[in-house]
Amino acid sequence: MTAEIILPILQILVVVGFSPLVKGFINKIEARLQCRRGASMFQPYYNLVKLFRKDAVVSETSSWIFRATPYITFISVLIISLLVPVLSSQVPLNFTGDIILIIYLFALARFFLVLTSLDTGSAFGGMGGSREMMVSSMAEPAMILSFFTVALTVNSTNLSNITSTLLNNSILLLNPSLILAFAALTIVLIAETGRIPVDNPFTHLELTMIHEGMMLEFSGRYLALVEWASSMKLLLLLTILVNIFFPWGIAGGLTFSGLIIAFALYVVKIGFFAFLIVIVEMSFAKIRLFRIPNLLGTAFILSILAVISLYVVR
Amino acid sequence: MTQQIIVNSRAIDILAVLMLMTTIVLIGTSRLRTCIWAYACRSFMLTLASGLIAYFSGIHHIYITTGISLALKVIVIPGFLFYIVKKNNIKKEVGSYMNYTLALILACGIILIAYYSTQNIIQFENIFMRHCLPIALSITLLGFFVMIIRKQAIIQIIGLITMEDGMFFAALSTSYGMPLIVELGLFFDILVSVIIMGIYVYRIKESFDGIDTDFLRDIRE
Amino acid sequence: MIILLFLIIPIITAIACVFTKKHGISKYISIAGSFIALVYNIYLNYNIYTYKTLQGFNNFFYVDALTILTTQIVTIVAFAAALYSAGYMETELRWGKISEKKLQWYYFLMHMFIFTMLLVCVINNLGVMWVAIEGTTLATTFLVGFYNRKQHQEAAWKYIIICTVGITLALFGVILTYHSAKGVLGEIGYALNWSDLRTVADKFEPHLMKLAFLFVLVGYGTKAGLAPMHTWLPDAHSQAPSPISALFSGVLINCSMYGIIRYHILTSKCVGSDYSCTLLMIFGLISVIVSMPFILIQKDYKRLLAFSSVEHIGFVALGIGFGGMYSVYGAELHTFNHAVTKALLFFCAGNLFLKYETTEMENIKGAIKTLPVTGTILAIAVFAITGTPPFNIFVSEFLILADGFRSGNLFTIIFTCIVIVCVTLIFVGFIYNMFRMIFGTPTRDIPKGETSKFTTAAMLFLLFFVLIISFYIPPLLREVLRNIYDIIRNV
Repeated sequence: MTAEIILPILQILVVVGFSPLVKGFINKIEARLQCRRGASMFQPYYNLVKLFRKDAVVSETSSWIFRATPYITFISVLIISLLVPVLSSQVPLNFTGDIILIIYLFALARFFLVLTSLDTGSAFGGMGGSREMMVSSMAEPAMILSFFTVALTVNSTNLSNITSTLLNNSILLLNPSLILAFAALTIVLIAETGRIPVDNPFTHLELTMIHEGMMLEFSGRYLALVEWASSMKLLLLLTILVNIFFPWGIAGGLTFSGLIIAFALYVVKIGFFAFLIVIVEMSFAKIRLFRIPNLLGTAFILSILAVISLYVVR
Repeated sequence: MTQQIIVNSRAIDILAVLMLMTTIVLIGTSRLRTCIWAYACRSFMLTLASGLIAYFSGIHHIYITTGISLALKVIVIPGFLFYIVKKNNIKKEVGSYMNYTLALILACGIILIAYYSTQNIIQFENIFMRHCLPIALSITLLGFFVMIIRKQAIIQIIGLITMEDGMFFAALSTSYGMPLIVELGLFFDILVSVIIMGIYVYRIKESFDGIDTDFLRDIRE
Repeated sequence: MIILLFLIIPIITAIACVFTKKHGISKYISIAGSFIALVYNIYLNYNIYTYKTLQGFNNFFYVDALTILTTQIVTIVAFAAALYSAGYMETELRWGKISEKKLQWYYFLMHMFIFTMLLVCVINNLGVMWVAIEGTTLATTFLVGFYNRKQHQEAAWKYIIICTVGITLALFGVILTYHSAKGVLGEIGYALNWSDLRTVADKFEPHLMKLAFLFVLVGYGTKAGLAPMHTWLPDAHSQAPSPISALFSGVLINCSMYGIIRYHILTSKCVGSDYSCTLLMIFGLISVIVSMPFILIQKDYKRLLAFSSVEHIGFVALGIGFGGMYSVYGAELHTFNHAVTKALLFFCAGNLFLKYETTEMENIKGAIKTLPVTGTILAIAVFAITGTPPFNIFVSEFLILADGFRSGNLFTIIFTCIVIVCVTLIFVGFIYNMFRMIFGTPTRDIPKGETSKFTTAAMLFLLFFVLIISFYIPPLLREVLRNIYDIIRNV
C-alpha cells in the first residue's frame, strides 16, 4: 500500500524536480567545453522562479486555447512521467497505458502548442508551428516504428514489461534490430527535443527558430510551464532510451536499498547521455531546414529496417 | 558453450548492422568529408568484425588480413582520399541525380531485396550469423547505388571501395575469409585501383575544371 | 617451373624496357621479349600435346588445352603488337606527340599487361585468377588514357570504374564458389583450385553455384564486353593507342571469356549444362543484336571496330552456349580467328590514323592509293571479319551456326536465325563504311607510302595467320581444339 503511494510521488519528484537540472547541466558542460564559464547549473530553476513571479501578458486577439495550452502541455507530460519506468521497472499507472499512449500524449501536447502558435496571429508563431509539424510528421513514424521493434522483441507494448523482460533476459538486447531502433530513436530524440543539428534551443533568430518560435508569445507563468514541460520532455525521452536499452541497475522491486542504487545509476546514465548530447551539439552545426528531411528520413529508414529485419531474420 | 556462441554471433551481427548504418549515412549525406569518415568508420568496424571472427574461430591467417585491413582501409585509403580532396580543392558538397529522400527510400528497398534474396541461402546454410550475408550484399548493392546516383568522381571511388568492403565482409562471414593469398591480392588490387583513380581525379580536375561526372558526355556514338 | 619461366619473360622485358633510355634499343627489347614468349608458348604447346595437362608449384599453376590456346593467342597478338608499336610509336615520337620517357612507361605497361593476361590463363586458383583479371584493368588504365587529353581521360575513367565494378560483382561469385567448395573439400587452402574443384563440382550446392555463375558471368562479362555491360568498350578501344587497341580487342576479351568458361565447366558439372548454356546464349545473342545498329551508323572507324568486337565476343558466347561438338570447336577457333583478324584491322586503323590524323571515316578517302599495302590488307581483313567465305571467320561462324540449327531446339534455331540476319546487316555496314575509305580519291594532298617497316611486318605476320586458317587448320591446333571440347564437356 505504501509502495503504491511512494512510487508515484518519487517518480514525479525525480522527473519534475530534476528536469531543469538536466537542461542546466547540458548548458553548463557545453559552456565549459567552449571555454566559457557559463551560467550556473541551477539557472533553469532561477528562471522558472522568476517567470512564476512575473505577470503574464496575453494577446488580445487570442482565445481560451492560449491560456489552456500551458496547462494541457504540462499535465500531459506529467502523465507521461507516471507511465515511464524511471527508478523501478514498476510503473505507477501500469494499468492504464503503454508506449502508444505515451506517443499520443506527446502528440497532444505538441498539437496544442501548435494551435496556440496560430492562435495569437503572430507571423513567427505560425512559422514555428508549421516547421514543428514538418519535423514531427517525419520524426513520429520513426519513433513509433522503433518502439514497435522493441515491443515485438519482447512481445509487449507495456513499458514496465519491456524493461523487466530486458532486464532479466539481457541477451535479447544483443539484437541487431534493437541497435537500429536505438539509432533511430536517438535521432528522433534530438529532433523532438529541438537540439542542435535540427533546431537551436538558444537562438531567437526568426529565420531559424522551430520550437522557440512557437513559444515566442508566452510570458510569465505560462512561459514557465511550457519551458518546464519541454525540459521534462527531454528528460523523459532520455529516460525511455536509457531504461529500454540499458536497463541494468533499475530496481526490480520496491526495496529502499534497490531504489537508492537505481537512483545513483540513473543519475550516471542520464548524465552520460546528456554528455553525449553535448558532444553532438558541439560537433555539428545546425543543418539547414531543407536538409532536416534527410536526417529524419535516415531515422525512418533505420526504424523500418529494424522492424523488417526482425521479421525477415527469424 | 551455446550461450557463448550466441553472444559471439550476435556481436558480429551488431557490427554488421553498424556497418550498414554507416553505409546509409553515405546515401543520406551530401558532404564529401562525412562520406570519407563514414567509409573509415565502416572499415574500422569491418576490421573489428574480422578480428572477432579470427578470435572466435581460431583461424590464424584472419589475424593477418585484419592487420592489413586496419592499416589499409582504416588509415591509408581514407587518408589518401582526404589528401586528394585537400590537394585538388574539391568542393565540399556533392551533387546528386536524385533527391536525397527518394534515394533513401530506394536504398531501403535495396536492403529489403538483399534480405529477401539471401533468405534461401541462409535457411539451408548452417551459419549462425544471420544478418551478415544480407548486410554484406546490401552494402555491395548500396555502394553500386551510390556510384549511380552521385555526380562526383571521388564519391564513385568511395562507392567502389564500399562494394569491395561488402564483398570482403561476405567472404568473412560466410566462409571465414578467402585463402590468404587471395586476400593479399585483393588488398593489393584495391590499393592500386584507388591510387590510379586518385591520379585520374587529379588529371580530370586539371583538364575539365571540376570533377562532376557530367564530363562523361564528350564521346558520343 | 617451365610455367614460371613463361611468366617471367614478360616481366623481365617490362623492367628492361623501363631501364633503357633510348627508344632505338627498347623497341628491340620489347620485340625480342615477346618473340621469346611466342616461341616458348609453342614449346609449351608440344608439352600439352604429349601430357594433356601441366601443373606446377604445388598445383598453383595449371595448364591444359584451353589455357594453351588462350596464351597462344596472347603471345601471337602480343608479338605483332610489339612489332607494330615499334613502328607506330617511332612515328609518334618523331612528330613529338610523346616523349621518350613516356615511351618507356608505355612499353613497361604493355608488357605488364601481357604478363597479367598470361597469369589469368595459367593460374589454377580461381581467387588469384580474379586478382589477375582485375590486374589487367589496372595495368591498362594508363594505356587507355595514354595521350592524356580530355577524351582519353574520360575513356580511362569509364574503363576503370565500369570494369572494376563488374569485376567486384564477379568476386561475389568467387566467394560463393569458395563457400560451397569448403563444404565439400573442408578447411584447406586450395579449396579454390580449379583442378580440385572440377573433380568434386557435382557435390556442390546447386543453388549457390547458379548464383555464383550468374555473378561471374555479369562480372567477367563486363570485362569481356558482353552486352549490355559493354559500354566502356567502344570508348576504351577507340581511345587507346592502336597497338593497345589490338591487344584489347584481340586478347583481353578472350582472357575474360576464358574465366567465364572455367566457371561454365564447374556449373555444368554441378547443375547440368542447360543453365549456364542458356545464359551464355542469351548474353551472346544480346551482344550480336546490340552491336549491329552501332556498326551501321558509326562515324568513327576505331569505334566501328570496337563494336565489332562486341559482336564477335557474342559469337564466342553463343558458340559455347550451343554446347555442341561443332559449336564449341567453332567458338574456340573463333577466338583465335577474331583475335588475329581484329588485331590486323586495328593495325590498319592505326596506319590510317597516322596518315590522315583523323578518326572520322568521312574524312578519309582513297586509302588504297596513299597506303597501298595497308589498303589492300584492310580490304582483305574487312572481308575476313565480316565472315565472307572463304576467310577464316567464315569457317568458325559457320561451325557455330551449323550447330545452332543442328540442335533441333526451337529457341536455338530462332536465335540462330536472328544472328544470321544481324550478321548480314553487319556485313553491309562494314563494307559500306570501310570501302568508302579504301577507294575514292584522297581529298587532300597526302604523301604516298607506308608508315614504317615494322608496322608492315606486323600486319603481314597477322595476315599470314588469317590466310592460313582460311584454308588449312594445322594438326596441332586441331588437336588443341578437340581437347578443349573434351574439357568443356567434362570428359
